[in-house]
Amino acid sequence: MLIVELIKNLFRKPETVRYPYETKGLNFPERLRAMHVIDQDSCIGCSKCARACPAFVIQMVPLTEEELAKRNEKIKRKRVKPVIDLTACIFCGVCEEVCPTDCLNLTNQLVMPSGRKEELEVG
Amino acid sequence: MNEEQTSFNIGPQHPALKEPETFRVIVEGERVVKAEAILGHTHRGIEKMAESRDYNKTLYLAERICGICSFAHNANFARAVEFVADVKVPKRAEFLRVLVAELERLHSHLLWLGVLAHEIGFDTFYILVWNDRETIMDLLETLTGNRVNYGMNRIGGVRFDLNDEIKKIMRDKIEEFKPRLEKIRDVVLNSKTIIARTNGVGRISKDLARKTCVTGPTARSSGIDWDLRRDEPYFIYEQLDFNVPISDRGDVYSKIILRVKELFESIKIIEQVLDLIPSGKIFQDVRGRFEGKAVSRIEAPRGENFHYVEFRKSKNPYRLKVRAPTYANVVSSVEALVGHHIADIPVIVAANDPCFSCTDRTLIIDRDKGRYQIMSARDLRKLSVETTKEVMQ
Repeated sequence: MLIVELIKNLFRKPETVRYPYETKGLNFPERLRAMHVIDQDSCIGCSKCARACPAFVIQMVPLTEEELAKRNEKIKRKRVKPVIDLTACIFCGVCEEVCPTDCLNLTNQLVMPSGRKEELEVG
Repeated sequence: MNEEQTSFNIGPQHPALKEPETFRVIVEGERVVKAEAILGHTHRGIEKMAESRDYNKTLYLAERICGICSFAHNANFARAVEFVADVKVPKRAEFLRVLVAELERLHSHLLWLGVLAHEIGFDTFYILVWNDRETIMDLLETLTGNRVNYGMNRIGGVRFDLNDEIKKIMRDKIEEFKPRLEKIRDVVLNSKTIIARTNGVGRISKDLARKTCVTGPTARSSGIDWDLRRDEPYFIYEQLDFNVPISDRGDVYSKIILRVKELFESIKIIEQVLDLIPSGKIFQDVRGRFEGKAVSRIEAPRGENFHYVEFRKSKNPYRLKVRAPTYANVVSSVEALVGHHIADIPVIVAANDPCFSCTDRTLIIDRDKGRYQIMSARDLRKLSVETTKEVMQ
C-alpha cells in the first residue's frame, strides 16, 4: 500500500501554486469580496457608503474643478466623491449593499500588493 | 518554593497565533508542581469601541473578537440585539445561521486537531487534517465569500442566501468529506503515537471541571453533560436530530475522541439543514433606536459564548460585555498541568483549544545560581518531539 501511495505521489501535481505569480487553477468563488470598483459617472455622491462603513475607511473627497466640469447631466448636484483606503478596508461589502445606484462594486480581483499608498486608494 | 524548585514563564509573546497568555510554572526537576495563568496581554478594548459605533457596525467589530469562532461572536451579538429590538428572524435565516455555525465548528475542530498533532510531533497527521479542512473552508467561501470573518449576519437575519447551485456543491463536498473524516477517526483510534502521548495526560476530573467552570468540549470530556444546542436550544436546533458526545475520562485523548465525534454530529446537522431548509426571505429589516438589555448565549466550537448588550434609547450599545469560552477554560488547563512533565505542557495547554499562543518563549530561571535560559517555541516543541520518540521506543 505504501508503495502505491509513494508512486502516486511522485507523479501528482503540487497542491499549491506560486501565488501571486501564478493564478491558474485557483477557483475564486463568485461571492468573493476583494478590490472595489467605483463608477464615478453614475455615483451621485450621497455618502451612504461612507456612513455605513464599519471600518471608517471611505472618505468623501470634494471634486476638483476639472471633475466638476466633466460631470454629466444626471449627476449635476454631485460635489463629493468616495475614496476608499484599501489598506484598512475589511472587505465586508456593506458599501456595495447600501449603494443606491449600484456604482460601487466589489470585484474578485485579489492581487493588490503595492509599495505605494496612493495605489491602494480607490476613487 | 523550596531549594529544589525552579520557576519559569511560558509566553506571552507568540508571532504566529492569537491570544498570548503567560503561564508561570514552578517545576521540581522535570515535573510541574504549580502553575498559574496570567491573562490580559491582548486587551484590545473592543467592548469600549462598541460604545462609539452603532449596532450595524458593532456587528463587524464583534466578528473580529476571534478569527476562528468569528461567526459565533457575530451571530451571538446579532441575536442579543434582536432580543432588544424584539424582531422575529425569518426561519430560513435561522437555518442558514445553523449551517454556517456547524461548518465553522467543523473547521475549528479540524484546525485544533492539526495543532495538537503538530504539538506532539505527528506532523503527517497535522498536514492530512489541515488538507481536509480546506474542503470546509472552500464551502464557507462559496457561501459567504470569505474563508474567515464571513460577514454572514445582519441584525434581523443573514446577508447571503443559499441557492440550488451552492446547495449541490455543499452536498457533493460533504459526501466527499465523509470518508476522509472516517480515515481521521481511524488514525485517532489506532495511532500508537497519539495514544502514547495523550492517554492519561492532563486529566481534568469532573469535580475540578465543575470547580473551574469549564465549558464546551472541555466540560463534556470531563463528564459534564451540557450543550447549549440541546439544553437551551437557540436558532432552530430543537428541530434537528443530533447527539451530544460525552466522556468521563477528562484527559487529552478523550478530548480528541470527543471532538472527532462532534465532527460526525456536525455533518449530520448540516445534512439535515440542507434537507429541511424552508424557502422565504432571509432577513427582517431592523431600524431605529432601542431601549433595553439582553443576554445571548450560544455554543461556539470552543464552548459557551456569552454576549450582554444594553441600549438606552440609542443606536450605539450603552454596554457590551463579552465572555469567550477560552477565558473560562484556561483555569482548568493550569490545574491540569500539575504533576506532568515540561514536555507535556504544550499538549495540555493546546488540548483545551485556546486561541493558542503559549509556547513561543520559555524562560527558565535558576534562582540559586542566578542563571537563566530562554527556550523558544522550537526548543519546547523539540523537547515534545523527543519525548514522543522516547515513549515510542
